[in-house]
Amino acid sequence: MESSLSWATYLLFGFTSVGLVVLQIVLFKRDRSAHPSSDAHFNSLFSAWLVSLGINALGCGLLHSESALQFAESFSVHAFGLSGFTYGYYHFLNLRRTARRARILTELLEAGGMLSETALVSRYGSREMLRLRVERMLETGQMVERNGTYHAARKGLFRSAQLVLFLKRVFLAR
Amino acid sequence: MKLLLLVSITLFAGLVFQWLLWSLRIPHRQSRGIVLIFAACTVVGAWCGALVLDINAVTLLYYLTFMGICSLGYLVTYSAVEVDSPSLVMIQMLQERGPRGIRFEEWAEALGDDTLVHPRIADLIRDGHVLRQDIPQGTQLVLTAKGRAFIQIFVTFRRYLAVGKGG
Repeated sequence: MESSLSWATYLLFGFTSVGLVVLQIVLFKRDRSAHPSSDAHFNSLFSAWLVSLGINALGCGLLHSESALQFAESFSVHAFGLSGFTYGYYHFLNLRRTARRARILTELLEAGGMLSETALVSRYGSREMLRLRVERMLETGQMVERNGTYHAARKGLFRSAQLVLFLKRVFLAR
Repeated sequence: MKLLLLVSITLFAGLVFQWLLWSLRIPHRQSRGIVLIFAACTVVGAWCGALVLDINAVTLLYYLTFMGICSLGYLVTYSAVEVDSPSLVMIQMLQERGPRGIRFEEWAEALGDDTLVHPRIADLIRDGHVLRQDIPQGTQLVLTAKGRAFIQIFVTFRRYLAVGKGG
């Protein structure tokens, strides 16, 4: 069978990947102002991913309207690529939200490029890091506060931590 | 389907190589090591794809694009494994406490500046994003051109999303 992948399908993939990012930003801005406490990053990205898959299905269908097999091949390749792209992009969004190194560099940039270590810690120290994380976990409903103590609200919170710990054991023997 | 098969085999080979090399010695700069391993596997995979599987130029371009996407996805996931993420330690402590929960102060006592801030500053100095400079007023942390270029990506993206500084 002749390959169903062509320059036209590659362009379709490229444009929908860029479109996914643009759509995510638009949806994120809209969703965040309407529902400030929801996990707007995840919701907007999931919606953008679904729309991109739909456009790809339509595009692959138009390009391979005469062969169901070629449509299935090109669409499955695009679905794989878009899902991988979405996964990486989601982690990039989280990195922007949670990366300590990025925040330290931002503080230095805002201070004109130079700061003493003590001044840096007073702007962004460990208590601030912990406060931000508690705030995020409460906002996204992963954790709840009762009488000054924090409790897990979802078992999924522990499962994702277990996965990271498993990878640590495999690669770093920790 | 040759494409997905080739991508899967290359990714699997990359993970096996990483596991083998890390078993011998964990490199000082793990992210760079991962980039080198996956880049080398991609080159070998592209060569095998062109010569053995006889894939055409468009499929090769797809292959390179998908390998780039998957390698970057793995790299950002691995960044959570590489360092002791504060969220991970917080969740572990929460799990250990069980139904009685945890107070903020318990986290603060276990995770101070020496655990969360100073090691990250050391990483930034090691990677050339920041310099430690002695001036008459005392030791200062100075942002380098490399650090400035790196942080601009985040600053620009934050501007588009209209969100806070994060961290």
